[in-house]
Amino acid sequence: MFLINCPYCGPREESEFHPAGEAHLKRPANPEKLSDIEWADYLFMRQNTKGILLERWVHRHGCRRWFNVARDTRTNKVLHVYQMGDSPPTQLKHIKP
Amino acid sequence: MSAGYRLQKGGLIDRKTRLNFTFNGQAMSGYEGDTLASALLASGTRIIGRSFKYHRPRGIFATGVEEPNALVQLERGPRTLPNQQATRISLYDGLIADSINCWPSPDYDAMSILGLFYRLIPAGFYYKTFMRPATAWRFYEYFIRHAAGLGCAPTEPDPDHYDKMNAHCDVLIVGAGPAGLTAALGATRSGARVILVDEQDQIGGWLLNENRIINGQPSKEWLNAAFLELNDTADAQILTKTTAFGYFDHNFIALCEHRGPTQVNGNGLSRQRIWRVRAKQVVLATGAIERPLVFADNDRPGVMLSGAVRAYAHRYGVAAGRRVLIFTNNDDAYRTGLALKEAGVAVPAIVDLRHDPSGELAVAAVRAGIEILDGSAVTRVLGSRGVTGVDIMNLNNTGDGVIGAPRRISCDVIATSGGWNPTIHLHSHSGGKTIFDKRRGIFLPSKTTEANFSVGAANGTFSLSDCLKAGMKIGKQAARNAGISSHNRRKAPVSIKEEEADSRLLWIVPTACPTSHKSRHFLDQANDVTVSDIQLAAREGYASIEHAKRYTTLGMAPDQGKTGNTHGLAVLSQVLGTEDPGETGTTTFRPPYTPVTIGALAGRDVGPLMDPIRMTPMHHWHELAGCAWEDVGQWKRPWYYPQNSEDGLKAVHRECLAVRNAVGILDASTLGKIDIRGPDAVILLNKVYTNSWESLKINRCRYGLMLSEDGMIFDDGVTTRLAKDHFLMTTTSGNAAQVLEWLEEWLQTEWPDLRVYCTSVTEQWANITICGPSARALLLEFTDDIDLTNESFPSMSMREGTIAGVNARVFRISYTGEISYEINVPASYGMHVWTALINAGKKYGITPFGTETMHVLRAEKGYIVVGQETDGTVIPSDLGMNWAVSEKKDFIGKRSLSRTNSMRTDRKQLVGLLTENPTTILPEGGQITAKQTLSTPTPMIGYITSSYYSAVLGHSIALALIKGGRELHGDCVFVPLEDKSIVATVINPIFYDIKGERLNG
Amino acid sequence: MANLYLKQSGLAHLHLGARALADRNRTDPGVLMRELPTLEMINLRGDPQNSYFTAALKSVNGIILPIIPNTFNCVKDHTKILWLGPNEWLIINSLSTKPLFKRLCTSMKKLHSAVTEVGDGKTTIRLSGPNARQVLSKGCSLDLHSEEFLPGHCAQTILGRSDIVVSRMPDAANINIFDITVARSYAAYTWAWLEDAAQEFESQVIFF
Repeated sequence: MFLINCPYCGPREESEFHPAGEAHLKRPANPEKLSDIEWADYLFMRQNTKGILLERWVHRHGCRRWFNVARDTRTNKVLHVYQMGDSPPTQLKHIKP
Repeated sequence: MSAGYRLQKGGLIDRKTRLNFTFNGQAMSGYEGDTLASALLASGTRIIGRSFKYHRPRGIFATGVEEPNALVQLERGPRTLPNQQATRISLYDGLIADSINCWPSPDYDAMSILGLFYRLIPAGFYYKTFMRPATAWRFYEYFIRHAAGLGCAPTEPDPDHYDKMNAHCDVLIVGAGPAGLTAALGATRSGARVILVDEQDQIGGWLLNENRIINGQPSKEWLNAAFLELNDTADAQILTKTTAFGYFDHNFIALCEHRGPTQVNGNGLSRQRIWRVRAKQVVLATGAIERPLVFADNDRPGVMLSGAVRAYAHRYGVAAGRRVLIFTNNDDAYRTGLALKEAGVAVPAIVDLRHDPSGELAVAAVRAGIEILDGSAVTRVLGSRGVTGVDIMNLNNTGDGVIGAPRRISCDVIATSGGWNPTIHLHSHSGGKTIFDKRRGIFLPSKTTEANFSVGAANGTFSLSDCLKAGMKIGKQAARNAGISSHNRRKAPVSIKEEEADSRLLWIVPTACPTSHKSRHFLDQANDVTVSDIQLAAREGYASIEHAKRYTTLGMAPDQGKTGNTHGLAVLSQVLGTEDPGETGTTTFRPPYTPVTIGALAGRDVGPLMDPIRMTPMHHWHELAGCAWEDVGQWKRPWYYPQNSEDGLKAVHRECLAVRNAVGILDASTLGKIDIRGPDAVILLNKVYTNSWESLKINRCRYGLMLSEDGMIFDDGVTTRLAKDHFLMTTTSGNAAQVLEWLEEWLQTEWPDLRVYCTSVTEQWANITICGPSARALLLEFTDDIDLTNESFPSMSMREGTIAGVNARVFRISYTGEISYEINVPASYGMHVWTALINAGKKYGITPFGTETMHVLRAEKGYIVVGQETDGTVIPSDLGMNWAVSEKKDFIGKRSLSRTNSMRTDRKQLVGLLTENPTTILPEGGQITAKQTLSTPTPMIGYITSSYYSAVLGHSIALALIKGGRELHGDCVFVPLEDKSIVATVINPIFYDIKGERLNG
Repeated sequence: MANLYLKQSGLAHLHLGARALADRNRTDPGVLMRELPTLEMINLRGDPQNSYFTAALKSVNGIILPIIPNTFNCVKDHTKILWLGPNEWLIINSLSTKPLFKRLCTSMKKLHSAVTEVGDGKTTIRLSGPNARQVLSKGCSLDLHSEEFLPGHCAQTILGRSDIVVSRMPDAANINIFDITVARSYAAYTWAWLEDAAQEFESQVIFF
């Protein structure tokens, strides 16, 4: 049972949240211009990271805000939480999974 | 059976309070403070049950959670609990316990003949014998399950209740032995919020089983003082009879508290409670579990752990036997010899695997006049139904064989010790690593992944004085790590350190003949796994301990192999030639540490509280009207309202006809409603719906389809423009929360610049829908400020006004094809408006109708239900709904509609089906084929999504998704069932009022 | 609007008045339970950084938004403004004679904001007494320790299987008071859950 530090409400139990997979996916500006393969890549293909995963969560039973979590999928340690629109902390990028 | 194993004095029992209990129907008694095991031992009961596989007689072996043999069925009737360890049951007056796995009694067990055939039942016997042919297992399983021993689950409903408690603390300490207690004292004195848990009924841990000196006082007095100090500290909570059974992510620990075996009736207390603890720091002072020496026939009743024998003497005032032989590889067992001697029990010898034991305890034993047989081993146990004596031989130099002539010694108990295994289960649950200490032959906790410490015996620190010191230090450290600024300089209590010599590791004690020949060396007594089983598994290629465990069932019994696993591992390592069990690795420790009842895990989530029942404002009207309910998510919705002796079908016919011919009334309050406001609201709607929203005029409504990004239909509903920048969206009942979250997801993650606020108003508004030819006349009676003529209030529009004196929004939205008013009033007035309409509507024949009628009526019109006509693979064109899809703008899911797969012409498309016989109702979900005669395999071309009897048409109707269905209008298709194949004609999926003339009344 | 007596709260069907009458002679109850029915509640969305927005609010009865997460402000004795999120608040007004909704709508007219009536879709259960905190802790994972969850604190969270907003009111005679605001359709569940959880402490229903 994770303890997730909602950037708005503070630490709350996992059951209040809902995970939503990989973060920082950007919807293509002009989907019509993409090939089927490129579109399928946006739709379906994910990293399935072993190591530090940047993922989206929503505080479903709390403030209903979406935010980002940096979690090590090997230990489930939450290394960082940050608001939508913020970029991941730079030091995390250097940690090799 | 002889009585009188109770010592004259000593123990923590209250000899003034006698407790009566029944074991296997026989009346017995013990004292307050006894466990069932100690009371049975005191009464001289040697055989408690029969073993799992061979039905060998078994007695009490241990004193705590590690007990493999003494499993009983506790109590009878609805409160019965199977496979309870007698060592963990605190005795109470009136207790009833029975042996498991034996018939007719443990002394004379009909199945014990199996023991003679043990060589025919090696490891993997069941896998090898009963698996071919595969179907035969079902036949064999019945007999095997009956022959194998497990207790009985209760068959009646549980009369007790269980609950859960959430708790938070700075420091959670698991185990209230010397290390845990000093840790608790250290942490509380620093000012930390502390929870101290222990599985026993009082604090003290192993110290309860010893008579030691701490701070110059008897250890029991120090325990009392520690208890009083903690008990008086407001932020220290002591939980006894509570087992920490699982250690989960982010320092979340689950505890199970036993709140008493019988205290249940009337006072509202739960029988057991699960504690969900979130701790900043965890101190694991879980102690150690003694392991036996593995020698021939080491499972005979009377073979016991040395520490347990000492515990029964010290704590319960019970002599485990009259002549107790000690068999050890270490110094600690000498304490048992000394304790027994002092209590007046005969100790014929201490048999030690080591040569020349010379520690201070050995010296004390010699002084006490106990004979020590060093460099020797027990090679044979006499007495099949209980130990009567042993043969002892000298070990050879390497320890893998015996030499010389056996010497016979008579005894009735063998107290054996092979050393102590640190209890690393919780450390391991938390993801902590372990290392193998070769010198001592034990696994120790190493790297942690959560914020925790292991301390005391759990960390390989076995001496009392070291435990006291380490506990205090770690307690203070944990408080500091939890962010408590410490001003606590108080010292740890002290105890005299008794120096102990090294033990001698000999994983298998040799006999005069090879192992597995005649005599058996048991590793796991609960599951009857022997040394030769592991050796066989290794020879057959099960080189991984995880495989060998599953193949032999080592450690898979209720005790989870707490006394035998390390030996099993060592034996496997020996066969594999690695000699170092650390390299072979341990099996994975998984929660729960000890079994937890399902009742406790369920807690309060049972019966009516299992899942919330969501009620609409008119719920209790429906209930009084005797409706049948349909579950829609957590909502209860009226399904239909049977009258008199009507069955469901008749009720639905009546309700359908009432709507088509008069007026019906429906509680549609469960529809999701989202208030959308802001200058960019239209932009948002354009993105999430497939159609365009700029042109929608104020007070007009529009139907919309919502797709996932993969193009599949995910919701539909009608949205109304309340003002230029203000909309009210409706969603399907089941998707209300998901749709709101969907809107928020896009607004917050992709388009944060859009100025839109979404607020759920599902619960704010009751929706009372009246529909049918008389609906307008009825509504006319209730409003004087809304003009109900078609001209000023056309279909798909909204008017605000007063209905029955209540401010209302009335929508002309029809899901039935009839003229229809969805009256939205604040939920608090829902019941008022509903009953007013019902009362006034009598003269029009107003008929309340439920979801089933609604579904029939909408199917007659060919309107879809999301989740019935769609299943996550359906795109708008499949349903012929491209009229709702804009070509001119982008929207979520649009790109997916032009993927190759979406453009296929043989996609399944929505059609209507009519059967030849008007009364034949096709089964929903029925598969559809193109040909009547079936040869396997026959391709399925589609399936039925909705199917009803239409009362107004006098004919059954069905909707179906069929490959290329729109090209098949007029063709026949077939629905093959078990005994027949039904023919149906494909038609356009609108059955009634095709021109839509009834919509305006 | 129709007569107020036609208005039904989410727990009207439980006839808590009669229950209170039956319970009136209980001595030393561990938990007191009552409904605070049919309060005016308004969900408010807007940008707290926008001074026009905060000024417009202040012009209505002097409403000041709580900016600290998980806290609420009180205006006079009868209006609470609870923080729900960075741009969302719940206003609970217990003075039925002076509704706020219309006045708020008027003052917000030109601002990007959302003022939404939600009071008919919710109800509030007041839980007090020496064991109130324990009862809540049976189903709520927040740290409700009296030094952690203080008077003036609130939280959107879960109780049992229902979403709630819990707020701690000022103690009365050293007794903790918690207000639990719950969606109307879940109110019966939440009430039943609380009563069940309070069994061991003996609960008393009160009604005014």
